Order: sequence, then C-alpha cells, then structure tokens
Amino acid sequence: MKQASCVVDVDWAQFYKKNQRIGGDVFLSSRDSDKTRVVCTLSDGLGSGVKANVLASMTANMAQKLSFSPLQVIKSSQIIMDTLPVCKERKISYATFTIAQMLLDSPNVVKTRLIEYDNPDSFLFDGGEMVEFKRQTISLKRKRGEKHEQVKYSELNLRDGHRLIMMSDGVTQAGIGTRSHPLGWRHGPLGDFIRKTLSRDDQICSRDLARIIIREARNLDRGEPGDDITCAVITVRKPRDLVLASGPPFHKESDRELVEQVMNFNGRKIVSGGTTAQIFSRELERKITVDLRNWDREIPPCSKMEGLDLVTEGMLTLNRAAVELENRVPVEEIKSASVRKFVELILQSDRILFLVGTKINEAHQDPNIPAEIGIRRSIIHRIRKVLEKTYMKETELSYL
Amino acid sequence: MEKIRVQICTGTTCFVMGGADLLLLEEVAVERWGKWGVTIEKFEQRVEIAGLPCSDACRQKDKKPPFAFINDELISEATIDSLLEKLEPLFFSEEEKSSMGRL
Ligand code: FES
Repeated sequence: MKQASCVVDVDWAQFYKKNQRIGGDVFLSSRDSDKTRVVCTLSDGLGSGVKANVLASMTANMAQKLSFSPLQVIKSSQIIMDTLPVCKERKISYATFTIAQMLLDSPNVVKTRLIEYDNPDSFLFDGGEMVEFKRQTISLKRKRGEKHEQVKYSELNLRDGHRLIMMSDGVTQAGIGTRSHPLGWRHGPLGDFIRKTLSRDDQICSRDLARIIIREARNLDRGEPGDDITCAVITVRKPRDLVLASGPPFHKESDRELVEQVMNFNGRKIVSGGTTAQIFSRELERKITVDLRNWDREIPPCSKMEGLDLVTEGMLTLNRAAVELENRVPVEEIKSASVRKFVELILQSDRILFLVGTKINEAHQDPNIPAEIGIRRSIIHRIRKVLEKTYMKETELSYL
Repeated sequence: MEKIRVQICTGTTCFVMGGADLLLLEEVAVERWGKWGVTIEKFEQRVEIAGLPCSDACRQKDKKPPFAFINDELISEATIDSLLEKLEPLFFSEEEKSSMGRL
C-alpha cells in the first residue's frame, strides 16, 4: 500500500425519541470516487416521525449532492434554504444542518469547510484539548422568506489527531426538565464531558466516541429521550492498515511470496481459510491453535498463530462477515465470536489490503457442499463493496 | 494415565458436513455416561479435545468428511456415536468395565 496522507474516520450514533421508530435526525456521509473528498451532513427535521425524517433526509441529500458540485458553499446553502419549506406558524425552517466538506489531497492537512445552520455548534478537539475556532456569520435570505437566516461558516485545517464532533440538539438538550439538568445537558458541560472522555483515551475511534456521547445523553434523559439524539464524529489520523489473506495462491511457488508479503506488512494481519493457514504454518514453522472456547453451530471457531492477529476459517466466516457488515450489525451484537473478532479488526482499520489466492479448492467442488460457500472472490467482492460504501474504508485487492 | 487426544477438524468442509456437531462430544459423552459416574471434570481429566484446521484429508477422494482423530487414528465420516464407540474402551479402566458389567 502506498504511503498515505491522513485519513478521516467518520462514524455516528443515534437514538430516536421515545416511541418513535423513525427519526427526524439524519446523518449522511460519502466520499467521491477518487477518494479525495469526504462530505458529511447532519440534519435535524423539525418535529419527529416520518415528516421530520423526510425533511431531514431531503436536506441532507441535497447538501451531499451540492457539496460535490463545483458550487460555492454559500450558494449551496442558499439553494437548500430556498428549497426547504418554512414552518408557517413558527416561521422557522423545517430542517437544520451541519455540513463538513473535507479535501484530502495534501499529505498532512485535511482542508475542511464547516457550514452550520441552527444545529448546536460543532466541537473541534486536538488530542484531548478543545480548540476554539473563528466562525464567520453569513446572513442569507430566502427567496420567499422575510427574515434573514444566519449560517456559520468556517475553514479549518485538520491534522493528525484532530476531531470534529457534530450533534443534533437532542444531545445538548438531553435531560431537560430533570432536577439535575433543568436546562438540559448544554453545550459547555457536553464539551467538558468529551474532553474527559478523550483524556482517558485519545485514540478512541469515532464510532465509540459517538456512542459514549449519545449513551450519556440518553442516561440524562433517563432512557426515554424527548427528542432524537444524534452525534457524529470525524477523526483525522494516520491510517491504520490491515491485510487479509484468503485462499491459497494459484501456483504453489507463490506460497512463500504470500507469506512474506503478509509478514512484512506494516499493520494488522488476518488469515482466513484453513488451507491458507496451513501455508503460513508450514512456511513459518509455527503452530495453529484452534480456539474451542467460542464457537457456534454455524461458524467454525477461529484460531491463533504467533505473528498473526487472527486466523479464521474461510468461506463460512467471510460469508457471515459480509452479511453482518451489509446489515450494519453493531460489532457487539454479532453472535459468532470469530466473525465478531474479524469484523472488529476490520472496522478498526482504515485501509484494507485483500490478498486473494485463486487456487480452486477441490474440496468445495463436492456436490454436497452448498455452492455459495465456494465462491471466494464474490464474497471478497461483497466485503470490499460494503466496506467502501457503508464504512468508507479504502480497500485494495490483489490476486495471487 | 495419558490423556486420550481427540482432534476434530474445524475446516469448512468438515464443519458443514457435520463437524459442527462433533464439537458437542463432551456434552453428549457426559449425558450418556453419566449413569456410570462420568462428569465433566472426570471427562476432562481423561480426554483432551482440540480443534484442527483443515488437514487436506477432505481433498482425498477415497475418504469422506467430517474427520476426527482419536490419538493418531484418522476417523472419517465421524459422528458423535462413532467417536464415543471408539472412545469407550479407551476411556474406562478394566475395573470400571467389569463393574459396569460390560465386556
Ligand atoms: S476441512 Fe476437514 S480435512 Fe479439510
């Protein structure tokens, strides 16, 4: 893998207002095809339920689309505001938004434009320290509206260790009306909470940080949020790499090369597949130990080998991992221990190199074995696709 | 006394061909032999169960998965029943056998 510039790790967490199955908060995140731009939008639709969800989705989708067009941000914001309906009685806009547009084309800096409209102010942290930054206030007037709306705009140069945290007002207002927090959590104490969390672990991934924040918010609401609670975290850091070797090489002479490539890889290492594991065991003269403590009827147990982070069975594990990833099942809810470890290691990484052996496994030609488990390439393809699309990972594939 | 080593293949082919069930060997053994005083502790004192990655046995046309080993003997088309049958004479001592009225 090439020497990479910084990566952005984007993830979010959410709770819906009690008794609502659909939320009025929407978070979207995408990157363009050449991977140099990442755009995230958090939008909060007025009210709750389906109507709010439609408005927030519309806003977020529009923001995402416009952000990839060559339009100026201000112009984009104007278009969104003009398109959004305004609540008749309250004269306020139906959906708020926070947009972060990030450019990843220079080696150590992620140039970021932040546009905030009526959501609580986002936080910027550098390691465990909160960083204040200047916001420019831009006054926009809707075509059909009478009053001016304030949009905040800032340009930030994010570097390794920086985090941008955005949220809906369900977070800052969590606990409102309770004895301990009559006015809700509020922006200041929330910032302190994030600082404390980061001072305990400044390497925490975006997903975990977002979850810790919304869990606390829900606690303040005594488990019954009065509003949708959404928090998104963008972390800039040096990429974490992982290599996944699966399948024996087409030519036996390449076995050595495969093993060397994996062992010399700078990052985490997973080997998936019994035959592949045997190649490593033979070439490195190291033992494979199957871990029989955790297994279930559907997925074979995983194993250990010195120098590798994880050794799993091949097709069944990969197939299940693909399904769990596609369904966005939270790691801790994955039933099979080997799939859980596999998915966890992958999701903790930013760039994943797949080394796929193309030798056909004669055993899987057996007509008694379900056909779908034999198709290594197609499963790897599914995993790559979901990692790139849903989890915004960078992947690389090489056949051996 | 040396422990009896049972190794069960946990490779893909074996696993889908019934190897998953073999991993329940200990539970079933205790259930069946409970009447002879076999408990989990006792079973674990005498038998060591380990998993085994695919040993390529499944590539050989003349043998059928799932595979297991008892000590060094390869057992193909293994089932819990066939494993217990092989295990029984190794597991119980002579006195135990005679007091159980078997053999
Ligand atoms: S899977 Fe058991 S020997 Fe190959």
